[in-house]
Amino acid sequence: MSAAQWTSLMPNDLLARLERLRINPQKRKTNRTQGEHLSGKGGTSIEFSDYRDYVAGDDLRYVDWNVFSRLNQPYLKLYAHEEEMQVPILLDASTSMNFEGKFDLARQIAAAFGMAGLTSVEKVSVYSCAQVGQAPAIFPGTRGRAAVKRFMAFLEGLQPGGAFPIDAAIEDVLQRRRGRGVAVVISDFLTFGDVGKAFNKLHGSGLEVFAIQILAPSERNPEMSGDFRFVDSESGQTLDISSVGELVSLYQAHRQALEDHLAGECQKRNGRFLSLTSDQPIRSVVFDELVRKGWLK
Amino acid sequence: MSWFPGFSAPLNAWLLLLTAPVVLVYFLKLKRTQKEIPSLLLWQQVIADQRVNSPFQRFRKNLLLWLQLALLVLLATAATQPFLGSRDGNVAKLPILIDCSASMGAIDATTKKTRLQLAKDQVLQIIDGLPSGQQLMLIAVHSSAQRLTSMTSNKVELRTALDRLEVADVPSRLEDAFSLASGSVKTDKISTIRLYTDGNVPLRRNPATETDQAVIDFDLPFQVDYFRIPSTGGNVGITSLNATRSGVRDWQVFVRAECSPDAAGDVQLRLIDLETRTVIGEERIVLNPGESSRIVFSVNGDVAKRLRAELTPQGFDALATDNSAWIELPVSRDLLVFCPETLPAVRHALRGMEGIQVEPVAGQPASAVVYDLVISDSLEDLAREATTYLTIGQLPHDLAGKVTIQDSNATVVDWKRDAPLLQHVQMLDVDFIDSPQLMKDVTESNLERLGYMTLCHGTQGPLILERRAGPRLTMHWLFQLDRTTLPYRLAFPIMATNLVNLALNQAELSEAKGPATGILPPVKLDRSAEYLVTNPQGVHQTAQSDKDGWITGIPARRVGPFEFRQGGVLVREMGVSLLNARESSLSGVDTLVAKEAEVSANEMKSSMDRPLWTLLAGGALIVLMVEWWFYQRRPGSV
Repeated sequence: MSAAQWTSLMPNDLLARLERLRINPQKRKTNRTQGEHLSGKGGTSIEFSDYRDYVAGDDLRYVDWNVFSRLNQPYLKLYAHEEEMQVPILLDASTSMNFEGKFDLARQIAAAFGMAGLTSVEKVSVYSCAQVGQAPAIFPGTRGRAAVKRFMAFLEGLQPGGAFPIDAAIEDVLQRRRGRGVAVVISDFLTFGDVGKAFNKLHGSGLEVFAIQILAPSERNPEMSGDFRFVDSESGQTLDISSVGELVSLYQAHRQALEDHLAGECQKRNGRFLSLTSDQPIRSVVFDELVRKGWLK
Repeated sequence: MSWFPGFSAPLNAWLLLLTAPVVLVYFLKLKRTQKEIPSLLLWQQVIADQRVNSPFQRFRKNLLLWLQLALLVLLATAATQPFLGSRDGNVAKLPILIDCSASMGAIDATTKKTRLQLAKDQVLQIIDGLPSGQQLMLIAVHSSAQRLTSMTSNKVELRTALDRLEVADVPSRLEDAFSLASGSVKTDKISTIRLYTDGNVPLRRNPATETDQAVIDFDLPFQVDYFRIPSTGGNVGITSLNATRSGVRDWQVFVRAECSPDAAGDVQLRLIDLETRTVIGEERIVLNPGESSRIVFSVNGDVAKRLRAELTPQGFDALATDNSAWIELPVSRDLLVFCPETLPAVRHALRGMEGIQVEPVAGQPASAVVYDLVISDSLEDLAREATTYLTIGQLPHDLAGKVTIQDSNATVVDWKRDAPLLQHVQMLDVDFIDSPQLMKDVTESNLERLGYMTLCHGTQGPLILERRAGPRLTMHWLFQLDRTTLPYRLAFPIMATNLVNLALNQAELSEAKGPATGILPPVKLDRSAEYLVTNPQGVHQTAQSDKDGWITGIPARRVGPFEFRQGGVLVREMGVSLLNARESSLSGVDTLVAKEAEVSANEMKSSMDRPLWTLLAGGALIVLMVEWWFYQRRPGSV
C-alpha cells in the first residue's frame, strides 16, 4: 500500500467517488434520533414540511406569525425531521468465504457501503461473524468522516475462518443491536438454514435487507469432471460424487434456484438482492451494479 | 435337454474366491480426487435430485466394480467348463454313424459346403464338447460300413478320423452300419446310436400303402437318433448308360439324365469316343424338376470303343460325380458257339438264328480257342474257354453223392419264370424219362451252398440248375434230350433263343452297361498275371488274374477311370460311374422304417452336451468391451 493510499481495500479515487454517494433505501427507515435523513414527520430541520392547527402545548416558536396576522388563527409551521439511518453491515466471515477472493470482495463491498454511509453521517456498524458461539467482530455504530480511517482499519484486520451459517449470524447480530435502517448482508448464503426466517427478523426490526451474495468463480461455473470427494470447508463433511461433469447442468439449476429463492425472499420484504462473483473488480461492483441498480446514488 | 448345466471341472470354482480381493482392492484403492469446496449445500441438493431421477445412481457409482466382478465371475465360471446336458449327455458310449455315400458329396447351395462337411461340422461340435467319461465311436456308412475309430474319448483320434472321412461314390446301405454298431451293444452297453445322413437311402415300395419307404432290414437293438442333414440345390446327373446292338454291326447308346426334384436343369450332353477323342454326339437337355430324359446315340460297332458321356450343367449343379459316365462297347461280331454234332436238335435250333457261328462245322474239328457259348453233353467241354456253358444230360462232378439221375418218369413241378433262360417258357407239358433225385438227407440248401440255383424243379429233384462263378455262367440240364419231349415243344426254340441271348449278354455282344461304382466288373486280362490297378484317386493296388485271366473284386468307390498296368505299361482302362437314380435325385426321407420301429429325423441340431465356456468367454469379452467403452468414451472420466 502506498503511503498515500488510505486503505488497501480500494483505491483512493474510488473512495473519493464513494464520498459523493449515499445509501439509497427503498423505504425510509430511520431512527427518531436526529440524523441526515429527512423524516416524513415534523422535525427541526430548516426544510419546511407543512402547516397544522395549533394545539395547546405546542412550541410557540413554530407558530407562523405571518399567517396568524392575516388569518388571526394560529397555525403551527412544521419542518421536516432529519432522522438517523443505521447501516449495520453483516459480514459473513466463515470459512466458506475464504475461497477465491470471496471475503476480499466482501470487505471491499463493506468498505464501499461504509464509506458512503459514514460520509453521509449514517450510523455505520460492522458485524463480522466467523464462528458459532463466538461473538462477532464488531465495529460499533459510528457516523462521520472522522471514523473512516478507523473503519477501514477494522475491515482490513478481519480474517475469515469458522463455521457460522448466515441465518444464525443474522439472528445473533439482531440480538446485539437496535435501530432502523439498512442491513447490508454480505455472504455466499450457502446455508442449510432458513434464510427467509432471518430476513423476516431483519425486516421486523426495521432494517431493509440489502443482500449481496458472493460466489467464487468455481462455484458459479464449476469446470470439473470425473469422480470427486468434496469436503465441506466449514463442517468437514464429505460427499462422493461420480462423473461430476454430468451433474454440472443440474448444479447450475440448483444454484440458479438458490439465487431466485434469495431474491424472492428479499423482494417479499422490500429488500434487494444481488449476486456477484468474487473475481469482479470492486469498481465494477460499485458503479455497474450498486449505482446502476440504485443501491447507491 | 436338461436346462441345469453340469460342470466338467467344478473344482475350478475356487476361482470365484478372487472376487473377494477384487472387492477389497476396489474399496482400498478407490481413489477420488479430494476437493475442498465452500459448502456442500448445492451438491447435496444435486445428488438428492439425481437419485430421485435416476434410481440406478447408486449402481452407477460402482459400475466399474460391478463390471469387474461380472468379468471375473464369467471367467471363473467358464473355467469350470459348464455344459448344458442333453439326454445323450448321459450316454456314456455313443456310436455315431456318418453317411458318406455319393449324395453326401452334394454341395449345399446356401453354405457351399458338401453335405458330408455339414455332418462333419456337427460331429466335430460333439467331439469338441465331449465331456470326460464319455466315449464315441465313428462309423462311416456307404455301400458297406467302416469303423473309423474304436469306442474312445481321445479327441485327437476322433478328429483325425473325422478329418479323413471322404465321400464314397456309392449308394448308402444302412444295414451294414447298424449291424456293425450292434456288435458293440453287448460289450459296450449301447442304448442309443446317432445317425447323420441326408436321408438319401434306397427306397422300397410298400405294397400296402403304395408309397416308397426307406426300409431297413434290421432289428434295431438300440434307439436311433436320426439327424437329417438339410441341403438345398438342384442336380442333374446321368443315371443310366447302356447300349444295345442295333442290327448286326451298330450300337445304340442310351443315356438317361435325371433332374432332382429341387430345381430345373439345363445341361449339355456330349458322348465322347475316348479312343479317338472325338465327339460322337451332343445334345442340350432342359429338364423340369424331377423329370428325366433318355437320349439315344448311334455308334458304329466295327471296332471296340470306350465312350464317356459328359454332362455340362449351365447353372448350379450340386453333385459333380454323376456328370460323367463311362461305357465300353465291344466289337460287333457273331456269337461263337461250340455245340457238338451229338446234339443235332440244338444245332438245328441255332442254325435258324442270325448272327451265330456254330462249331464244329460238320466233319471238321473245332478251331476256335475261345467261345462265347459252349453247349455240350460232355463235362470235358467245360474246359473250353467261354463265358456261358450249358451241359445236357450230365451231372456235375461236385453234385455226385447229392443227386442221382434215375430212369423213371418225371414232370415239371415248378420253374423260375423270371430266370433269363426260362422267360416265356411253358414247361408244364414237358415229360422226362430221366428223373434227377436228391439223395437222402440232401436238400436244395445243400445245392445252394455249392452255388447252384434250381431253375426248374422236377418231381424228385432239380431238372435244370444254374451256377454263376465270377463272369462264368454254367447251366445244367439234368436230362438227355432224347429222353424228353422238350425238343418237340415250343418251349425248346424259346429256350434256345433265351440261351443265345444270355450268352450274348454274357459276352457283352448284345448289350453293354456302363459299370457302376461298388465293385469293378470282372476284367479279362492275361492269365495268372499280376497287375497294378490305379483308382481315380491315384491309389494303387496289385491284383492277380486267375487262371482264366479274370480279375475280380476290385473295389470301386470313386467315379472315374481305373487303370491296369503290367510292368508299367497301361494294358486296360475302365471307367466306372455313379449311375444311381436315387443318389442323383439327392432327395431324402424323414423316416426310416426298421422292422419293428420307425425312426424319424430330428432337427439338424446337436443335442449333445453343449459346452458353455465359449459363451461365457464371449460374455466376458463383451463386458470388457462395455467397460472400455464406458470409461473411455470421455477422456479423464475414470
